[in-house]
Amino acid sequence: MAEMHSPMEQFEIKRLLTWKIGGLDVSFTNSSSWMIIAVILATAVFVVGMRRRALVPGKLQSAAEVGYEFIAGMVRDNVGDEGKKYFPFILTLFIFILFCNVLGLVPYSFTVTSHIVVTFAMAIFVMVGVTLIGFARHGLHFLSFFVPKGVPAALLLLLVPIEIISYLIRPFSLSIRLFANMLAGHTMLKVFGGFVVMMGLLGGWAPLAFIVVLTGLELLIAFLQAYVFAILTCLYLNDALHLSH
Amino acid sequence: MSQRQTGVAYRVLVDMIAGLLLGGFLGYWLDRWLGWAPYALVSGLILGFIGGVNNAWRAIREYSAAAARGEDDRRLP
Repeated sequence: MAEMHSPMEQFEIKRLLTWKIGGLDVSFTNSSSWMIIAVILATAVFVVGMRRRALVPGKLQSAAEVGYEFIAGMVRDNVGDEGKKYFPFILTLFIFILFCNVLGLVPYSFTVTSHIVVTFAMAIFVMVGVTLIGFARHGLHFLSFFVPKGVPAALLLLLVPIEIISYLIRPFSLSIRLFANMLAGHTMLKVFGGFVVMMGLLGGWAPLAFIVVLTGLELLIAFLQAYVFAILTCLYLNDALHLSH
Repeated sequence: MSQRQTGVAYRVLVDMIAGLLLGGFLGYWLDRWLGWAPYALVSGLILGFIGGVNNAWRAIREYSAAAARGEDDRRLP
């Protein structure tokens, strides 16, 4: 009988190389290593895939082109022509999250996006960036974003703080969405994996079949959550560029 | 219920929960630091809830506006 592991053990951060800079722990961890692997693989798909630039694309080139066109279409539909400048950022964000999510499904790997520090860092970067873009484009007029139109002045005293609070919540909902989906999915997989071992050769087949189905669902969620993160970034960018409510 | 509607429902769910979590968290720490217990926690939860519902409401409004126009709405998951 295999020893039992806690379902949360897979999310543990382990130091691979211990580094300290001025009392700050900047160790190279399993999380950092999987981020680097994701970046290298994503770069490889694009660089190797586009090396031949064939008119009739091969498998890898198709994958790279589909990813590019998918995000290009998303930015065009949701942000418009002004969004073109920000397309490289959104494509990078999408591909990075997608690779982190999918690599997390490989057995013995580590899911970078299952940690809220990681997703929150990305979300706060997006929100601060979007706010700066809004101010750079509209100056102080950007603040009119927080003033709902067609509302009596007396109500504004109540509504403007609510709008500002709602705006401040956005990075949190953006990061919680990705992190919670990854955390919950992987915990579920591990719990049912534990059932397989516990129920043994006789009863273990039912949870095993369930894991197979769940893994397919997790693959869908890995893609869907990367998509959701990218499209919400587009929507927030659109709000800042066009001050639309 | 279509897949897309399920996606909207999940988005709205997280919008509402995130507001509560943030408000509760900030309120809890304000209470600890400044000794305002329990007023900061209670008002944080209320404000967070209002903000979260506002975000959820906006998401639903965008979705139904697009649905009313009969668009194949690609804006929302």
